[in-house]
Amino acid sequence: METHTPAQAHTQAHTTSLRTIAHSALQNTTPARLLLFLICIWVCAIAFCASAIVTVQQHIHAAITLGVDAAPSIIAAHRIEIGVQKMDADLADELILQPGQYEARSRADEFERCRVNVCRQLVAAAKNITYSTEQTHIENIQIALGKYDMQAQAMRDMHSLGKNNEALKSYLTALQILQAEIVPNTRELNKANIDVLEDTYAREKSASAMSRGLVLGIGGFLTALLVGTQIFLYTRFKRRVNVPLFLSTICTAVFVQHLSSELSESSRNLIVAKEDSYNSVVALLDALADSCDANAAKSRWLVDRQHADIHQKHFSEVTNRVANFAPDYDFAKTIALAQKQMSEHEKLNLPGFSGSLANELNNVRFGGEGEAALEALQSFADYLACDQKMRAQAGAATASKPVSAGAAPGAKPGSPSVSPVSKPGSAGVSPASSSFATAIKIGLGYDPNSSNYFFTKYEDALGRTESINEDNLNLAVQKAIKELNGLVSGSLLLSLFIVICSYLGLFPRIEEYQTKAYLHRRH
Amino acid sequence: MNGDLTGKNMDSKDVTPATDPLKAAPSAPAAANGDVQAPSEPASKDELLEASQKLQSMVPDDYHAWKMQADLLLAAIHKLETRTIEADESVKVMGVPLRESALREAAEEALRNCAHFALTFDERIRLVDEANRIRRATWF
Repeated sequence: METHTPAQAHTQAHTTSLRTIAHSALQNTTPARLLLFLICIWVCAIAFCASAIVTVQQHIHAAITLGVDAAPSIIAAHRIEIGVQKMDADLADELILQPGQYEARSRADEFERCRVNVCRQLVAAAKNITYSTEQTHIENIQIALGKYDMQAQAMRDMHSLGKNNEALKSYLTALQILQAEIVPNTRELNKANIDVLEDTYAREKSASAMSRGLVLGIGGFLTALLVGTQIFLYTRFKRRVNVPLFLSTICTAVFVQHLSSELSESSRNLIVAKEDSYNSVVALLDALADSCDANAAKSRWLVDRQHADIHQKHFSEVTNRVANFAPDYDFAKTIALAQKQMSEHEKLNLPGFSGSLANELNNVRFGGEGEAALEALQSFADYLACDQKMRAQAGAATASKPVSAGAAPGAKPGSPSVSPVSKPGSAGVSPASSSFATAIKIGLGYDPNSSNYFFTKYEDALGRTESINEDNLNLAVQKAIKELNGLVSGSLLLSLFIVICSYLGLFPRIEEYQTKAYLHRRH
Repeated sequence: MNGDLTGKNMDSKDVTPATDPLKAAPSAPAAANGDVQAPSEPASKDELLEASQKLQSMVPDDYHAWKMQADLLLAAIHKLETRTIEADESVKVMGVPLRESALREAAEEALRNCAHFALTFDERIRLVDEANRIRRATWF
């Protein structure tokens, strides 16, 4: 015969009672209802926790993709391209200038500075490899850069030996490496990151509202469930306030509101980071990369007269990518309109103007950004006007007879000393003519009448505009991530708190229906 | 011994509904609805006190004993609610002053103790529910 100790009997009785409660969970009895409330609160708390964590992680992932993974790689890739374009311009300038001259040496120094910067950006990009194809492109750039450096050195050696044709040949080989290997790889590196960034942002944008709605829905339902349980306890037990449930209701309501506002603020910051800052940064870096390409094409146009038409065409193409105007619109009208709109604190809207500078000007959001961008546009207009002047001077030289090689007559101290590269007559023009020397002076000089003066001003204004946007990009991403900090652990803690509180609040009421209560007052 | 509620040696287990001195008291479930129904037979204050004296003399240790106490207290509450009798601190029913709040507390306790001896789980649920319905509302 089976015997039970009193403790075993009590445990068995207790288990039987709980089982009976569980079996009658769907019956309209108070303990069954209490158990149902308890289970519903637990399930809801867990669902709320899970959905909150998933939503917060989605937001964090989007912010990290934008600000940490993709944007720095995109910026690094742009700077690599900008750096190599500047190296190309310096190399072409060196070929025009007399070897050993101050101007030539300063170009060589500038070339070296750009090379070092490109290497640094390559390391920055390599340290931030996130996507599968990035490494291949970085390796390709690194390999091509070595070949480019060798050709650049070969060009310098030939140039210093006076073998200008060989020097030009080496330069064109270096240019071929740059255009066929380095630049395409920087653009592929860019594309890999841009694609992921755009895809992640688009997904986040569409999923954000939905997931936030889901979290708010579950959070609202959980709050309503806790309030409903309170009402049930009051009507069935004549107890006005259940302290644990009251605390969990208050905490849930406060946390849901906090979560909602933080997610909303984080989304807003992500929009600021992407739409307001990142788009401007990309537009500005595109503008700078294309402008440097154009500036190099300008130098090539001066040095490689045999392919002058190709270089001029390339110059026009890339400058059109920076700033292009519809018929009846030009720099002057657009700048005047932009100034008027800015003085009236209107959002810039510049019709008939397209290109990367237009993209930036139509996306001005931060203090000082508009002024800097407009200054860049003005400098670019001046640069193009100066370029026109240079080409007009060179055009005049085309009509004149070739003159002997050497420095341009009447060149001021500090002005570029000209070294003829093309054989007289090889391109049909002797660049050593007086007009051509003036064209070179305009093209290579840094005085206020020369194109490099305006280009430097333009570059400086672009740099300031880009810096404003990049700072705001980093700030917005930091804020977006910072706002989400603690929400994951907060969700976990809140859910645990609700589970414990609901147990503490409901278990004594469920226990009233057990047999342990005999001769004990229950309050 | 059955039916002898006055005997000091009376075992509470001997008390059966057939010998219930509270024929006039309303049934517990009915009384517990918050709106105590009228007893089938009107009981006066004296009858309540008499029944109280009889029940006080025995040790309640089973379902029926606690049920009778609960019914008596519920009947007293009903009479106070319907103003059949007036509250009187000097008068005690089952050792509890004839005051609604005190009677409600005592009735709640009696019903919970009664629930302890309920033969079925459903009956226990019903009695605890009644105890909760009859108790005075508290903050916590």
